Amino acid sequence: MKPGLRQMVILAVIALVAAACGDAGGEADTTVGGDTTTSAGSEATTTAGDGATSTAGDGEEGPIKFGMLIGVTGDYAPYYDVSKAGADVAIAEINDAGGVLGRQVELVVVDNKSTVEGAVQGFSQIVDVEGVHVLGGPESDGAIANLQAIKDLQLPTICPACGTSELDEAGGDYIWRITGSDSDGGLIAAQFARDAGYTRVAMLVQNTEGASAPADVFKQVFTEIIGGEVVADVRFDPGQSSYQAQVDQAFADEPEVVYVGSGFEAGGIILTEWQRRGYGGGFLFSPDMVVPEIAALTEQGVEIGDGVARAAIAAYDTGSPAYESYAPRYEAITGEQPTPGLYDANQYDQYIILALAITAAGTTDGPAVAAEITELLNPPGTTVYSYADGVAAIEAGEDIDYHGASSSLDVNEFGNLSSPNFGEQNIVDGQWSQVATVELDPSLRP
Amino acid sequence: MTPADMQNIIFGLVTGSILAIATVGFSMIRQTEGFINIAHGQLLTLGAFLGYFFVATLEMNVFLAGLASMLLVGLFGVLLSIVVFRPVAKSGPLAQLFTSIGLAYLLFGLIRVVFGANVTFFPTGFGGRLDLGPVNVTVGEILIIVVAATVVGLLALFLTQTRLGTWIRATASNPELARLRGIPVNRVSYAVWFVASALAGLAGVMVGLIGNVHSELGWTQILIILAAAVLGGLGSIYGVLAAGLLLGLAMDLSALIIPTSYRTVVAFGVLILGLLLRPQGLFAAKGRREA
Repeated sequence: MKPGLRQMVILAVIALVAAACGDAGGEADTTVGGDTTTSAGSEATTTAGDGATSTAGDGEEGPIKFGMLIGVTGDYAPYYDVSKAGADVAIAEINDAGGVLGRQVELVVVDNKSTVEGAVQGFSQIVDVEGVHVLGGPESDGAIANLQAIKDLQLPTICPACGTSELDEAGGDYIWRITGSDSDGGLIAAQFARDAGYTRVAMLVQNTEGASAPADVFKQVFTEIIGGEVVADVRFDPGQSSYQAQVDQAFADEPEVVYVGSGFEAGGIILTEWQRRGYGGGFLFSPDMVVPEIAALTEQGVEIGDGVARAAIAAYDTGSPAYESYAPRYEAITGEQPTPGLYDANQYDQYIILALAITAAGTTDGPAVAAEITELLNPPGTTVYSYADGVAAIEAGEDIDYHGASSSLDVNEFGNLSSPNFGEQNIVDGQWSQVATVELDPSLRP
Repeated sequence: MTPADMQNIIFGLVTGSILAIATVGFSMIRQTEGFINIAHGQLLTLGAFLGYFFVATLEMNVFLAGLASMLLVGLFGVLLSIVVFRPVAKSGPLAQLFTSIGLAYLLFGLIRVVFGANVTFFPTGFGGRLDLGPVNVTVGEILIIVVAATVVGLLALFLTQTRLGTWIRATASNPELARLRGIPVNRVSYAVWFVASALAGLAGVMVGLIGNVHSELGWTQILIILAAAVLGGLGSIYGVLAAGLLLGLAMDLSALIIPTSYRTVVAFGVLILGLLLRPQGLFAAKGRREA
């Protein structure tokens, strides 16, 4: 390499590193009263009382900062716009109702780049630099990465879209999850099996964490709580060209239904092989199978339509007054209907919950706010469906039970939904369609 | 023998037939060109995508689609030999091996750009199920076994009954001597690349038909192909055929006694056992030359 060229390469590398470092310190989008502005994070973090970072920096004046640590870029980027729209609906509703404790609410958005490293960096920025009072928005990876820091800092945090089973028993003190756990996918499948009267089930499960965890829950619930029999539990590695031997094993003892916990790549092969040999019976699918590629197999002669294959994915409580109020406001921003798989209503609910908790606590102090969250999500109390109604009830001295746009939001001692809503999905005319809304039966929890 | 044993033998025959077709071409390149062509797996992927394109988009008959894929992948293989491998041939088999690894990544990327990263399924039926006593087989599976056997038979005839086939065997046996005896080694090389690549294309269509079509196909297949080639003796086409069938049977029969998630482990377990008992390969008479 010539010296000149070498120097150019070194300069280019330095420039790239500098650019990357500059980006890491980045800017945050903020929203006050529905208007979005951009400000560089420069506010200093202060430590209050017992060492917890709570009312960072601003004492009793200025806007209350609601953090949103989320994947603006990276793998989760496709979810960002709808998530932000859901959050914006909530912030506007809160500020239109007079804000929280008489102060306006400001939404501070920091990009976690859809990575664990980005989540850790972003958490530091949103807490230390931006000084948020409460936090929302994180996905599974980011929530787990920052779980201990959230507890240490006593920062009330709500996870609107975390499926990870690692949160099944980790929350309820400073972190709550307002969507179903991945484990619930196994629970709801077992509930389907029970309600359909199945007693003999086989399982075909991919050897990956995402597929195995809910499948194990399904097996445990179906055999130990429901009292059914799993006649074959066949596990397989993904990436094979054929699963004929595995399919044959699963159907050897003529089960009434087969639970398929798989990605659609292997699942599609399994279904075509099932069709070729005419094994018959029916299927209970894990949520990963609810994709257009699987539904399209019906057009190629794979007869899994009309209830032969059933699955459940997260669903909104569309009959709730909170949903009926939220949906048109969301649609006005996005031009689209709320979509359960995109968690926009969960993003909305989290900020209404946090605003009501601060109102009930009468302070932004972390432990005081956190102490209110489980209370206001569960009965007893006056059922409220909006921020304004909640504030009115609190000011009247009543306990409240907030029912959200996504679900009733009742939570257990670990901060997880007791009875998340699911939509039963069948393939109709070559497409997945929701045919019923099903509430998870909490009595099935192991 | 239980019905389950017999059923898994049928599955193993189907798996083994496809594996044998894929491995014969791989072994021919190794034998005549003197290096291990890791890009062979990507040619298989290309065949699968081309077959899918012909059937799904052009609505071509699946047999015609298979033939067209064989032809195009065969010609593409010849092109690769001229543009990529011949220029580095003087640097030795190690350089060719690493070139083939680089080429595999390049082809993998190009296939994803052209055909996308989505998983697709052949929009074609597989015929009805035929019950044969305690076991059953589908028409499509019978056709795969028949096509594979026919192709192998034709290949054997080509290699033993035609002048070009004789030249190929002579070149594979001793390239320098073949050159000195006036055998047109370039023509032989083109023929080998065409046949080997076409067989990869056919295997790709077969894999796509029984399973699905996706861009990772080549990576998942090349290790098993390598295992079958080594077990068969690298230099012996009949050994490679036998090894392909043996591995296919071993993988599917193993499902009767151990969890199916160990299917690939079984393949390599058989390979290690085979090499311990017969280091030169199943059918090779002499020690193998190193690539």
